[in-house]
Amino acid sequence: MQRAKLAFVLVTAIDMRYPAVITIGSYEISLTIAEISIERLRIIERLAKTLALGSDTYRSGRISAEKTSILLSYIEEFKLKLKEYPTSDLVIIASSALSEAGNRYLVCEQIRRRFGIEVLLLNKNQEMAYNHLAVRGAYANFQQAAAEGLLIFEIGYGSVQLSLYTEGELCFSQNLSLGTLRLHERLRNLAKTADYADLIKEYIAGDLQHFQSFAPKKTEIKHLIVTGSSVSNRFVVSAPEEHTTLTLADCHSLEQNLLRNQDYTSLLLPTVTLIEQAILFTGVEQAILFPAVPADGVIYQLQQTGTIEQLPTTVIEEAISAAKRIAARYRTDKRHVNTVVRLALCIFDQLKSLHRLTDHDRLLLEISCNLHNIGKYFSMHDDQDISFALLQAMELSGLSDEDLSTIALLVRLHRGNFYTDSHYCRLKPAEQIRLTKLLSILVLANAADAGHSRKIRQIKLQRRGKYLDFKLFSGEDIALELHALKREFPILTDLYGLEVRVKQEKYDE
Amino acid sequence: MSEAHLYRLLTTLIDQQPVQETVEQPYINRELSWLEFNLRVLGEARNVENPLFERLNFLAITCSNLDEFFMVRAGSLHELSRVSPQSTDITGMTAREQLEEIVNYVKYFNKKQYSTYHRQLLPALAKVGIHIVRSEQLTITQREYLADYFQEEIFPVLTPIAVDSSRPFPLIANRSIYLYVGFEESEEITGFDDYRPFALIQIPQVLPRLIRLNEAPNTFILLEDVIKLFIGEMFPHLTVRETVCFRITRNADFAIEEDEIDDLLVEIEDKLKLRRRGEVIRLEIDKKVSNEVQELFVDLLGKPDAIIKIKGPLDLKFVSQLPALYRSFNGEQVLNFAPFTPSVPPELVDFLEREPSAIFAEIARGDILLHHPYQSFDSVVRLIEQAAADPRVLAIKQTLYRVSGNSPIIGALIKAAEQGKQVLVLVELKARFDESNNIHWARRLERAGCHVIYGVKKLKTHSKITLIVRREETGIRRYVHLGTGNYNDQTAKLYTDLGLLTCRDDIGEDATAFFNMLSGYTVPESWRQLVPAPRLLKNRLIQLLDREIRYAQRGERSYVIAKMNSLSDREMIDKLYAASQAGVKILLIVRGICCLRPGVKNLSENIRIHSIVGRFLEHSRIFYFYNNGEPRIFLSSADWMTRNLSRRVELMFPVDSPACRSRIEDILALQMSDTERAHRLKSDGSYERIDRRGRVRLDSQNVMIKQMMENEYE
Repeated sequence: MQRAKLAFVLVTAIDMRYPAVITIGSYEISLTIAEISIERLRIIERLAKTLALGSDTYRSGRISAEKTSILLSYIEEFKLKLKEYPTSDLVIIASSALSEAGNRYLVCEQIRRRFGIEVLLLNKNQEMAYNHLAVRGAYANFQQAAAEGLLIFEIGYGSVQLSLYTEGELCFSQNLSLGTLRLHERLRNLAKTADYADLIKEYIAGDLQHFQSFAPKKTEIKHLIVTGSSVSNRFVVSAPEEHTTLTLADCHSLEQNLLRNQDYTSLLLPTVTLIEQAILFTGVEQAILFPAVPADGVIYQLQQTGTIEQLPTTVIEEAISAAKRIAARYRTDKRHVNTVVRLALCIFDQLKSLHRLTDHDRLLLEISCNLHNIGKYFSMHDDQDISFALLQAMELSGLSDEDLSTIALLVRLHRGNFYTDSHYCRLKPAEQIRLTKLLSILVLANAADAGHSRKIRQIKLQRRGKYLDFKLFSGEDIALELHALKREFPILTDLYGLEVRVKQEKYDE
Repeated sequence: MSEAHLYRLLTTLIDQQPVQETVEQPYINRELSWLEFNLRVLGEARNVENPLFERLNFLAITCSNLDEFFMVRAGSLHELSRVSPQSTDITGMTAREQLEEIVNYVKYFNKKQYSTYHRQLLPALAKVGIHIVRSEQLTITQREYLADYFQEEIFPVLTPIAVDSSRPFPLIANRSIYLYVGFEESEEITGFDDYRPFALIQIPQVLPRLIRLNEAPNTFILLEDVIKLFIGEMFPHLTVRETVCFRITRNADFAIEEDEIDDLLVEIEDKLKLRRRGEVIRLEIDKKVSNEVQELFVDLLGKPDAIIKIKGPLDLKFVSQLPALYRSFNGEQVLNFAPFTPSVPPELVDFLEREPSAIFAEIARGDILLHHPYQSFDSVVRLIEQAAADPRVLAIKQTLYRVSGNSPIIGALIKAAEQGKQVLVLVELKARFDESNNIHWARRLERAGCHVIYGVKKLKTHSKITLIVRREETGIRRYVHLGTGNYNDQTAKLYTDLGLLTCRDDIGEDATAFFNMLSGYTVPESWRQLVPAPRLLKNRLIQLLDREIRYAQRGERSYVIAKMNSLSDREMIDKLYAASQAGVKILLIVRGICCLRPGVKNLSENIRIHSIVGRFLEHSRIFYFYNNGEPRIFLSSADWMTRNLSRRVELMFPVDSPACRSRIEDILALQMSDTERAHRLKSDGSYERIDRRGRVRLDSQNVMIKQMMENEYE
């Protein structure tokens, strides 16, 4: 009886997983340990060591050997700490201080050699996505706020990210280099002046105006969530009663307190000033504070998908939604784009057994389809080059630099003749093959709507021996599309060694 | 006990307190306040209602208290007078002025102490057949017996040190009794400088201080008297001119520059060696000493701050040995407090008596309050032992400040580490006079595989907290023990302390963060329930008092009851004065130092202060804020002293469970009603026993023993 009881206990306890995330931030190195099951996510430990890597990167562009050594020793300490729990996964992520450092790969290699773990260098998009995930996990009314008009104002040490949600979707996002440590580094010589707070405000105001000029007009912001690594409950502690909101008056009083106490002026003052400015320009009564950090988002992702490789649905939706908004901003032909997306995904799904690409590749394909014509807003001739340049600087929630690079290349090369393209040629063989597989689908989908008239309603693919049969379902004359498609079929032959046959089938409504 | 009853008690006590119109000085000097505390302990030695052997213990305690006072407090004032002669305390006195006041007070105190010994305790001892005789009272056979004893037992361990021109004055050990033996000058021996020849003999500490005489089983003579009696046998060729007992107390207060050291443990070991050579602060010397010998000591010992002439044996701590030496022939006599067995908390009966693993389930059912020594500290020890043995326990973390000589707690931690659990122990190496003991335990724990940390730089870690991390069906659960007293199974039998066992998530999270902070990780931005010092505790207390002030100003009921060991932080005192002036009723139960002057018109007329000195050392810290009808009750490891609030890592924690809160209200009400062990602090800084007229006689500690034995609190 006793044994049976124990066995039950062990089985249920094993259902729990204990992932851990080490975050290499700009100002501190932190460890987050969580307990997750299908039903529940609980952060069970959060600890940090101060290490201002950001001051190295933002001043000299590289992480010093001394700080690298300290960083390694802190990771070592965290590894010891993890022995206190039955830790299941350990993920190391790095924010801008390391991601932007010139010697980032060398530092990462040292970590890999010593601990056997690859560092996930987060770009702004990924940081933003993980922060949004964290906020979603922490704020029960997120969906309602996003539907009513919500600005998430993430204050990091390196940058500030503004993300605007309307009608439940992310509609605009902008990163500004106004992180607290960055501000401090830039304005440190003025820190002792009496009007330091005003100087910060002045410095911030310019960039915030820039955001306003680009943000969608006629958007009412009813909710302001302030989050990010620079935001903490320290503000709340000094408030008279426990709460997690700040009004303009609170900000002002905190600002005065901080100015009186010179010890606290370094990073907290820029943070308070940023919050104050955010309240002012959104016009909300109060900011809701969430000390959420990207690590929480990673934990949430691990709970949702079981792996760091796979993005959670919400991130995918946000990325696609952002791509659609960008496409709209550059006035692309919405109906054509939607057709290309539909057909491309249809081809992707039917060729799975041949291409063996991942769900993440499918997402990149979908985004590329959405964005494949954005350069035409500027020029009808070199539009792919313009698209390429635009996409490399684009902010797409949750996507890594490699992802953005893949999307940019797909868009650049989708007009064919890519074998001689210099960017394509520089790719490693495996990358070339992956990119070509994705590219083949994009160009086929695009060709299938060559006349932008959505004549092909459906495509069915079937492999028969050495043939790959295309059945195009349409009730109209598709001579133009057939011509365009036939021109692109050689890619498929090059990729899979199959001869492509094509046939039109009547589309029955 | 209802809240209304507490309020009635409090207002009655404050209303009955006489109010002083004005005072010159709003604060009381902390050193003199401490000396007043020692006087209250002496009062228990003089209290004929206490059993005789307990009175002896109280007398011995006053001696060890005073030793420590001179080593630490007078020592630090001595140092301060050297480095910063102009700086003053909150009463405006310089260090030198304070030392002078201390010496005057101690002279008065010593007279009272020895009068207690000679006029009260020796006659009382004689009544039960115990005699401490002087050499001139010995019979011939006793003298012969002692002559043999001297030759066989004492002589071999004596090491006389002759001091003359070729042999410098030796290092005199701290708190050890010496015998000065002065000789007439002769061919065999000459003096040095202007002094006549002499030798020093350290009274051996390896021998018992009290020697039982033959033919009289309860008659004793002091070791130094026997040595004096046969001193001629040690120096057969010299003529002994004068023998004088003396004893010195050295400055044992040392500072560590933690910024400049690599290894704290090694540094403290080095400093401990220096403590043996600290400056002489006090010289206790036989009253019959000649002027010449006194001058010699003053000269050679570097002008001690306090020279106390003693009429009687030095260092009266020996009296506490009498109960163990006593042989009773008259049947049962009430010479000690009635023995009592600490009760087992009803929630933990199963755990302690039948099913060790039940402890975690019991804590999970609800918070458990432990009141020591009335309730056994064994439950805490067994909890650690059970955690060490439990396969589901992943980690144990604990802070240790003072532990007993053979600590079962440490044994359990070592066992846990050997079982492969993660064990983190903070051993505070800077715990005064426990440094060597703690270094020893730190090394033992490290050898066993525990992760030992030595505390936070420049702060002493005084908090008492244990965290047990356990993996259960529902996930990780944290069990926390928070206490007001040390993890010391021996002192837990003598000190009154409170402990809370809980597995509340918010406290568990804070406890985890607290240990991370102690381990050198960044300080958490916010705390959910625990309030740590030095960063937040004082602010929080001020905030709680401010809230009471606001209620009082609005004309609403507002009161505070706080129990602690000492109150000396000026900011806290000023806030209490402000609260009193706003109309907040305040009752403080402060066992020791109290620098606040109560009962002064327009300053502190709403403040009354009690001090309870009894069988057990009152040690728990309880803070009760009425909070407009929703009382906040906290327990803490911290006193309201600047050192606790600003220079130590301490914890304050809330008690929210209704059952536990009700028990704490009972404890406070009981202590406020005490008429037997309580004293009231008067506005002149002195204390008086509680006026019993019209009150039911009540000894709070005795009532507590009775209640706990009967589990009445349920």
